[in-house]
Amino acid sequence: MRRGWTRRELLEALAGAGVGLGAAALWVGRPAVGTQGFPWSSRGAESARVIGAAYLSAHPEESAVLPAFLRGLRARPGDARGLAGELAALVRADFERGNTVRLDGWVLSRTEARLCALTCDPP
Amino acid sequence: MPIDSRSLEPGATLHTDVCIVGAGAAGIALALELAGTGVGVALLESGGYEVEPATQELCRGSIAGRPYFPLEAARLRYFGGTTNHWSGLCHPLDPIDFEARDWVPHSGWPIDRAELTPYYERARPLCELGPDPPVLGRRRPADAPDIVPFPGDRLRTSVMSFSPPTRFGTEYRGALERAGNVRIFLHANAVELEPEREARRLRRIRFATLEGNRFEVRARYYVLAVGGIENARVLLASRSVRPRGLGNENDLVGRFFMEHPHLAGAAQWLLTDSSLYRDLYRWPDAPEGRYVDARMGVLTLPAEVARAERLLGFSADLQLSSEAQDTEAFRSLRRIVRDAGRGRVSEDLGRHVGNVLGDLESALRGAYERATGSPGDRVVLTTRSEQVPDPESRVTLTGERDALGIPRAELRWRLGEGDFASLRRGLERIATEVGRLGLGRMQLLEDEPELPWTDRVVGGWHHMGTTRMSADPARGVVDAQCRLHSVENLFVAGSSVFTTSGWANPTLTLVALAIRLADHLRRLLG
Repeated sequence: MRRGWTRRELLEALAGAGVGLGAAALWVGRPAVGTQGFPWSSRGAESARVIGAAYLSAHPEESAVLPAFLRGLRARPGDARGLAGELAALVRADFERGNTVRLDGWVLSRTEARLCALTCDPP
Repeated sequence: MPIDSRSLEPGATLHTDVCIVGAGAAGIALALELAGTGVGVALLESGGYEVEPATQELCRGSIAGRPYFPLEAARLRYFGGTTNHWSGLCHPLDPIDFEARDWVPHSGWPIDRAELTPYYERARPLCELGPDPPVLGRRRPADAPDIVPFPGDRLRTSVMSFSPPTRFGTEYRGALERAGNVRIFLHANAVELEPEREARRLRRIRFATLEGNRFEVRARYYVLAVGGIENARVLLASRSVRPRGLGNENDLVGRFFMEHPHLAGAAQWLLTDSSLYRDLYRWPDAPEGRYVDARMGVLTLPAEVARAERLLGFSADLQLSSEAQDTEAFRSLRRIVRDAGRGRVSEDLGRHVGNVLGDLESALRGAYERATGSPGDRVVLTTRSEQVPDPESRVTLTGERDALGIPRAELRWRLGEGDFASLRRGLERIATEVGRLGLGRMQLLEDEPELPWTDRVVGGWHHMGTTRMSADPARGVVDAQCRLHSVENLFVAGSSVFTTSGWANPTLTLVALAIRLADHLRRLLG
């Protein structure tokens, strides 16, 4: 049986899937302009932590949800590419259902916001 | 040759079949349609063939409520009217704009889009436009390489056309001067629309020049075509028989003033791939200050989405940008240069110059990027939206009088929570769809300290609705033929007759309505 995913592997999966705003920062690799925007840098992981912290600040109840969310991801079989594909599908489904969150004006999938939150809230 | 009203015999009475007051886009379009027929036309313009400060000063008024541009800046009072500073953007109203929508109070024209379709086709050549471009968005990306791939029915690309822009006065004065049945009167200011005692018919219109010469015109039919604010002002000020003004028995004249709320930087869109952007969405270049067969794609919502989500109409310009180009400094620099290219001084020039000098590096970097065609890294959205018709958004008269003794106009432009909420939901709809399709992520404009995002919303110099059209005199000033309900030989032309505003710029529609009115008058005159 495959062991569960580590946080590092999840971040790599995030980047590989091109999922989420943190991933966008990884692709673009340049600062983003916001009004009172996130202090983005060219380091995507740091961007993800900033987004994650903002998400948890706006939705503190999510701290209780994250452990189960992470367990669910770790339990998924397959390789990193497969997980990336599944995450991408989850994100698409979020947008399809309107399961989105607003952080500093950014419209994000809840799944990608939770993924970013995982980078700063180890279960 | 035009007749200078200052040279007329004092107290003269002129007789004609159709008296058109105002030589802007509506008045000139109407006169052109009647030119060369057996109908006698008098086209009377307040100004001359060029702008004159003393006449322009007649446009000055006051602003109450929501901040607005000075009225003497947003309007032009000489031959050609506001087309003399028109941007040239053209798009017809959509069919849904004419419908009674239960989520839009006071909506529902007495005509439908199909009624106007043939008149839009006749209006396009007057605005020097090519064939009507298609609405895009239902085609697969492989078939439509010129649009951002939005498969499905949730978003749409509408294509706006650019008039060169046509300065109606310059372009058409020759044809009107040569028309044997049209007389052009310059420097003629309508000071009183005088009805017969029972006020069922207009008896005459009295005119005056700034130099004090006075004369009158008597016609079989009269058309008021002096603009969305001035049409209401003239009617309200005509109180010789009706103390509340002409056509104002139900207190509707001047009410329901509508603009197109514009929000620059409403959102920014980080593209997953900058190659997704298409040149169709780029604001076109105007070689030597003139657009040639120019078009621009804008994002709009399909009618099905607007109905399902109970949204007002809106469109979003998509301009590729960069960090430097997304600054006030660069935007101000662009505005200064663009206005100079059109031969006019920017409104609020001092503020624009201050912005440029305050961040000269961004202004210059942005200009360099534009000049060298450097690709941007983001798309900035600017929205133009429909507003809910609001009877408390209105034009009234003040106690101050102009040089002709006419009470000045006061504009109280009002926007409500419904207008802002619809815009916000529309932007969220776009952001959600962009995310769903994997095209990137969007950031919507949020409140800043001491500056709510709603305070950034400005008008577009579009003045609509103040003599709105309705089949019911209790709900409108003019009927479906643009005739005042209560004055059987007086008609109104221009965007003041719009029942709702839609999102599209009004010029093409008001020209189409003027052409339709011309056909109606010809039928009446036999």
